[in-house]
Amino acid sequence: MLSDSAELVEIKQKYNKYFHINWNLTNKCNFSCAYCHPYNYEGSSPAFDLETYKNFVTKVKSYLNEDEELVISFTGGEPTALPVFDDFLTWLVEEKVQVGLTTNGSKSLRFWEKHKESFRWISFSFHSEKTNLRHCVNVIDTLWPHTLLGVRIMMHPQQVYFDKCIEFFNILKTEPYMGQFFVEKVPIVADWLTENERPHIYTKEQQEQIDEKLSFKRRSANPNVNYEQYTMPIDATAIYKLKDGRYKEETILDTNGLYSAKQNKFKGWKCNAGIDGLFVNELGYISGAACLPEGKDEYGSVRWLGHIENLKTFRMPAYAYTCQKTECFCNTDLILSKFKEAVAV
Amino acid sequence: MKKLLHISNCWHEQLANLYDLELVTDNPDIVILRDPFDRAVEATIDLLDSGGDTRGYTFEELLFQENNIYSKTLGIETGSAEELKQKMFKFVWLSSFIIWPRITGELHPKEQTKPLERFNLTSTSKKLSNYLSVPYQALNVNQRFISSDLGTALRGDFQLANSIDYDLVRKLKIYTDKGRYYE
Repeated sequence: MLSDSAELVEIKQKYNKYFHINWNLTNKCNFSCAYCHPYNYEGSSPAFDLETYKNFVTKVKSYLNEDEELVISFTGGEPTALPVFDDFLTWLVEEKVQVGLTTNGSKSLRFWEKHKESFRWISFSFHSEKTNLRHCVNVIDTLWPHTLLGVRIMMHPQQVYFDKCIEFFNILKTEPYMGQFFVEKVPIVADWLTENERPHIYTKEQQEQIDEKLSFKRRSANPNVNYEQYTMPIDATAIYKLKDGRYKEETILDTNGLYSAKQNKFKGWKCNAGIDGLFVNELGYISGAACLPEGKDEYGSVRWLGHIENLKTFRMPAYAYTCQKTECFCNTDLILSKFKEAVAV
Repeated sequence: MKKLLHISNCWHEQLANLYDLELVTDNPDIVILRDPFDRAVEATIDLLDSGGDTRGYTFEELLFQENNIYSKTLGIETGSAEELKQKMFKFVWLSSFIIWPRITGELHPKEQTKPLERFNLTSTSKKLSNYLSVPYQALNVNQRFISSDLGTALRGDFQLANSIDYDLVRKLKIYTDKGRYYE
């Protein structure tokens, strides 16, 4: 991020050929980790039939320009726990949709072997309570040659699981020997998704172990895909106005830097929610972004853009929203194009 | 008995065994070097296979723990052509030499490097048998990776950290062409 005196005036999508759907597919999960909000594994969200998912994707694609590509990032819950996920993914690949996935990696090696070339990127979350170290190493070894792979080790505060996290972090330093992936320790958030949400306070010894080395990049081998396929398709850049009136572009938007500098405030800005991408929640409701920029009606209900089961009324937004939110919390919302109307460059 | 410079993970033990050479680290007659990055990767795999202490380093960090091994073993100080000339090696060859060919427009990382064909274990053994005037012996290629599979960016960083060795290997390569050392 640029210096504090530089004023952020615009965020732009780095590649304008992608339309991105941020899709929270389900709140079903085969894990039930102590630090996760129970809603994320209670499995109360509906599982629609395969045609419903396909029809929605087809509808979105019908709005895209010929040279625009659809990118979908699936989150949950655990997206692979959705019964039709395997078939849906196979169909998406046939339709040349680029898929990103956040997963606990617990599916069988046979599944990952079958779909190793199906993903543009994978965020692999390691949950020490529920998972097997050797299985995780094998999954990583299966996936890294084909996709941009990030391994997020969720630092469980309970000592026995904390130790397992550290052990896994250390294993990945040299296993597999050959690989190209990123590994990071992720401190957990206490009372996540509640009003009391806050960083967990680790013991002094634990914090020292976390701080000793937060992350590393394995890069002993080349992936099997070309450089273009290996890049993240939905990155953003930022334009800053400097003190002397000049403008400067930050090639890679530092979202973490924006949060920590409290520059994630865009109230009054024009935001391309619904134009650069969409958000779909676990119930199948469609919005322009995870912050639900459509607002609420007089009865307090969200003015959703539609529902994946009822596409007749669904229309893509044609104009940028004027942001009404005090802060932009979600990374996928933060990277949507947005600008201060008077000074956009 | 001719003296072959010994550095681990360069097939020197195999060469010495097949051609009845003495393995030395001082005053060698015969210098046969392998691509430095490939050698370092092989050495790291060996360390891990044997359960060696990694001291908390990643695979990639382990590669950089000891740099410019060839030059250090040979006691190279300036690396100049004159210094190499004074070493008076009798036989010089490379068992592999990875090059960065002109970029063709393909943005595929595995096509960014390739081996120079004339330097391989077959040509090494043939050249050595000619020099020693003994029958050719086939070498066992036991490399556990394909050179172009190795991380290209990492190879670049390694090359920078081991620039003295790469300069040495470049000069030896020219020597195999011209029979002289050039800057």
